[in-house]
Amino acid sequence: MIEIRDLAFSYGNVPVLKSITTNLEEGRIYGLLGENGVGKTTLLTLLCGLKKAGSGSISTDGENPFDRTPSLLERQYYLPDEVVPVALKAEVFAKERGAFWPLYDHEKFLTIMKEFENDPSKKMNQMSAGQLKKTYISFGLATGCKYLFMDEPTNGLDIPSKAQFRAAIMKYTPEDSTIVISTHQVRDLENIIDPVIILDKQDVLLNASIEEISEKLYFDYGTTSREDALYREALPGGFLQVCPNTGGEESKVNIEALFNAVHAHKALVKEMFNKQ
Amino acid sequence: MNNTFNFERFGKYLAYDLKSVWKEQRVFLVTYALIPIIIYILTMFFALVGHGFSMDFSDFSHSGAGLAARISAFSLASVIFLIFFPSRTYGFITDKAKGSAWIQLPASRLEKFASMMLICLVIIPVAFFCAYLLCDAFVCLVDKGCGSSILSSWSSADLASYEDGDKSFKVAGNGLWFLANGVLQIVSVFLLGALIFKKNKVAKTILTIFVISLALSAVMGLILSTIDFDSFGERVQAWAFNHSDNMDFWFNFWGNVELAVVVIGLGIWSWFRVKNVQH
Repeated sequence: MIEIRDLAFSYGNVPVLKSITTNLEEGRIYGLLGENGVGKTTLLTLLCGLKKAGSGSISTDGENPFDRTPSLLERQYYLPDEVVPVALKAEVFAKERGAFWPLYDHEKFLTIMKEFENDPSKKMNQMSAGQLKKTYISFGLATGCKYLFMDEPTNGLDIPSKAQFRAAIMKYTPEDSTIVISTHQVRDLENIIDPVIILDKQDVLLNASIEEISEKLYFDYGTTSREDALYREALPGGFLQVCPNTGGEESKVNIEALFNAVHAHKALVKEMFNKQ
Repeated sequence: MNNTFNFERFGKYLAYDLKSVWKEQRVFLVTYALIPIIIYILTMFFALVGHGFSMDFSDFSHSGAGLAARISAFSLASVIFLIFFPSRTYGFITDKAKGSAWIQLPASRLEKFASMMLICLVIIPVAFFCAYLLCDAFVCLVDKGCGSSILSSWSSADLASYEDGDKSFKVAGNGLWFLANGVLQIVSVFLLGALIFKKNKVAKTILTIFVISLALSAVMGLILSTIDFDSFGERVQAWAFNHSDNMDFWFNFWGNVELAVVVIGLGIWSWFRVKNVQH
């Protein structure tokens, strides 16, 4: 489990994260959402030890990620938004680098590459941006890491690859793994992310499971405009509205609408979800 | 699990690191090592140009560069190589994408640092000098007119020896140690520069050395202005007289102390940079 306590981070005098406290539990795929510049990438890099927390702490199974101990590095993999096009064949790169992760499975890498319709014998510096991203995703999944941190993994992927990515995430990650995916492409990942974390300037606005969200908010896809709507969006033939779920009704969570509702009513939503 | 240093993991990492360095830097390394052959080919080419490209070689008796010219070329090539290779091999650590991938590789910080120091301070310089000197020896073998090779002239001479009447001092050991001393200092400085500066690593390192040298000269000037040179000179003379029998030992001693201070100091600084680098 990852425990974040009063985490703060600044770039010089510019604070990015301030007093963030939350837990990331096992067996979950967290969707990390937020506007540009709220610190999603910063939070991911702090979680995997690329940056040192300004104050507060991060504890991954009792270890500080910034200590960069081999025992923790073997259990985590970070996929950055920009990946390196090394001058090696994908299969050679994966085999050489994979030797450092004890659970790395080269057969699994080749299988995922095949599912992505990606050629492992192709040199990585000759791949397109999407092919390169798929190579790194395949490698990350083949490492068998318990902690996977992905920054905009679907950026650059074509439409079939996005579906393949969702399928690969569900199929090739261990049951007890904690996956954190930072993304703006919420529709690409809507069906797999649960819980949802929404970051705002220096703060966590929401960290709730889909079940909790649908308990507290009702996503109305009807034709009647509601007065209590926190967010309303016109759709062909009706509306998509996010309202407080006062009647305990079930509805399908629309993450994009949720994001907009949370941003429009920050204090209200925060209070709503902080109530026990 | 030993999270600080594990020999098996270090061996695995060193092999991986060496392989990566070789893949990335082999053209650079081989080009510099082939300089004696390149110079020889160029010399002969321009000699042929001067000869009017005549295919009648009966009166063509030009030889490659002599020993003095080849030693000069060797010194110049070595200094340029030693200045540039640390930033070419490990400068990527300050790059966001490549540096992040390097940090994420499951090996300890100490193992990564030890591998970097071993490769930079020992393996690459030794490989470069061996290859360069063998190429030079090969040129001399092909063309007897070049005179002796740098390697053979070196083994019979103390490059930094100093003779005074019937006394001779070997300053800082023989030529090989003198070379090793220079290599360790240059590489340590430029490796640290490669780890600190994000762009224009070599130029910024040279500028920094320049500024530090100016500052140290100013400080030394201030110190020297407070010294009574007459009594100081007398003390130096007295010390030299008392130690005249083992002067070479003292030259070596102070030379090695200076080397140790520079290399260890810069090494510690590099370690902290590697340990705390963030992306």
